Amino acid sequence: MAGIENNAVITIFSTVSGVGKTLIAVNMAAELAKLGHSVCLFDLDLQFGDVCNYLKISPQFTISDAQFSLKNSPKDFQAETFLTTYKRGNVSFSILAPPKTFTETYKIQASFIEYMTSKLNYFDFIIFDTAKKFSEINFTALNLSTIITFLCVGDFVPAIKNLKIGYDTLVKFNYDENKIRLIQNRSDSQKLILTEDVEGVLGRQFYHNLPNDYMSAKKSIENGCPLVLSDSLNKFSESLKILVAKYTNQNFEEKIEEESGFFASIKKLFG
Amino acid sequence: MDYKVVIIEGNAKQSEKIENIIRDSDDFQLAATFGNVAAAVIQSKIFKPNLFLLDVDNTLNISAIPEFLKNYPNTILLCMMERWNPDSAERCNELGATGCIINPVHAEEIIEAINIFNKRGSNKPAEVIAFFSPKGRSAKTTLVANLALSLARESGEAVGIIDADLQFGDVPIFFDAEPESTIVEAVRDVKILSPLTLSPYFMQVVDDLYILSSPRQPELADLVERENLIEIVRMAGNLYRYVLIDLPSGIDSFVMGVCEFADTIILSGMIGTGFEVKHMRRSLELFQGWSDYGKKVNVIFSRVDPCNEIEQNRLSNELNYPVYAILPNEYLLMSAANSGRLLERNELSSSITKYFDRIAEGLIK
Repeated sequence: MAGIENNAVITIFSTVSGVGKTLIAVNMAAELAKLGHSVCLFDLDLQFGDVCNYLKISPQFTISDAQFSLKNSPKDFQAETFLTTYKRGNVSFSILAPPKTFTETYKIQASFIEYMTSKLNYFDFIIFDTAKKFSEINFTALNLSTIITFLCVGDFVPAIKNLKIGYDTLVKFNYDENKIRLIQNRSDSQKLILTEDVEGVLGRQFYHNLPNDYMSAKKSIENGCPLVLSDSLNKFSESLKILVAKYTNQNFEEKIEEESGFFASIKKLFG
Repeated sequence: MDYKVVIIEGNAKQSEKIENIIRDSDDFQLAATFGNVAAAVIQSKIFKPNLFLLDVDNTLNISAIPEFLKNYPNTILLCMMERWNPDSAERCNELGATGCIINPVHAEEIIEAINIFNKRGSNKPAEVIAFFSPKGRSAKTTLVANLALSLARESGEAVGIIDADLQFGDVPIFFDAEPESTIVEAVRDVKILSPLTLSPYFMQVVDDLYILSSPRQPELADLVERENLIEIVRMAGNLYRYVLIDLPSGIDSFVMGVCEFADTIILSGMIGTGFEVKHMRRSLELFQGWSDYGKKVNVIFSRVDPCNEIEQNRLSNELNYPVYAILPNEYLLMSAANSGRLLERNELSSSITKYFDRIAEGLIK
């Protein structure tokens, strides 16, 4: 399996909504699967998750059924029973779907996310798509993560303020800065606010910039097909493939060293 | 202004205290003091008072408020209570009193109260409007800020915004404001506050518009509990005719509790991926059991393209619930928030502002 020794948990997180968390989570899952890895995508936006909407799948079971089953018959519990498979061509990956009703969402315990992650640790990659907020569930996801993808869009001043607050909070709560990768989405969509200025506010450079490809994204959502699996060439997919390659350390080792940011270099100095 | 004051206070000791305050101040002239409310209603006429100070710890006095208004239509009627009692205050407002204060210790408090209640607008109960976007990214705060401006202008009454988006509140940014205090302090102090002492926690951003900021750090959000926030909202209703609450996204007991308390709920969503209508439909189900559901819950979609009636009807059909209003692409509004120049929004194309003015007209009660 493509040279990965240990499985990795990647969280797609942001403190701003509508920055493309689900788009990136789904495409990252698809790209990793395409490269031959086994992937499980948890939709942790429990109330308004869009993973299944995006992929146009109707899951038979959800995380809520899984938690219920564990509680009622722990001996027979099989985590994979509650996963839903997305398949397109010869690429497939698994999904842990969010609850179907709001009432069920209140009952999901953060410890159960941890439990499911440990039960499913045979997957090469587990990806968490999250809701925009600091919550027990999200902190659990962040704690379990090998890589925290902190997704940014720098087009709106209130949003930049919330990215700053979000990033500072992660640092304050002692998340390893090397674990946090700042990714800018729609990096080329408008230049009223310069990337350098956003980086200045955040106090750190972006690890990767994803271009805006509105029409391709729209089509992808309409078709229920991840962009990286579509036949047509698009700049978003190209860039996302590079990001995934960086995450999986394929010929990008040096670049990672270079780009791992201001704090990382300070740490090295004092290392 | 010279106030000719009639005091109605059954407790002799308290009555004497207030009399002394009035006597010591150049702004006031003591016309008469009554222990009995019925006598006060009839006998005050000969003094031609323009200010009543009515003790409302005695509930009998509250029920006499309509009599006062009938007999002294253009007179200020200030209700006094020993401790802040939101139920009594709301009852007094419903009956048309000018406002309620804690038993004053200084004459300045009475003057300040008169000024605040004068700015507040008509002597009617407050309208509490909760703004809620189930999933987020809905132009909710854009809507709150612009509607507040339109409401203040169209109604000529005072509007207060409470930024209860506890982790990521953006209201001050929209007004380029840096408030000194936040909702955290207001909630912490709520048990010892009254409208007059709550007022400085709000920051005035324009003439008739005041904001109470969200916590400075997301982890402080936990300090703001639903019950305390609702107490702040009720108190703020004594200061502002319209109290707008900007709520966080996501459904929990905090959001639902505030929505339940509000007179009107604005559910906002922004058209984007196409799943917004689906999310909105699911969210509406939460309110369906409420008796005033159809009247109380209003759906507004932004970034609707084309922004016309046909599209509004199409959205209503898809939602299976009437869409109250639609807004066009938010680009112009975003640039206003980016520059912190929302207050100069008249520079914006008037075609955008008119959308908010129209929604505000519908909210004026």
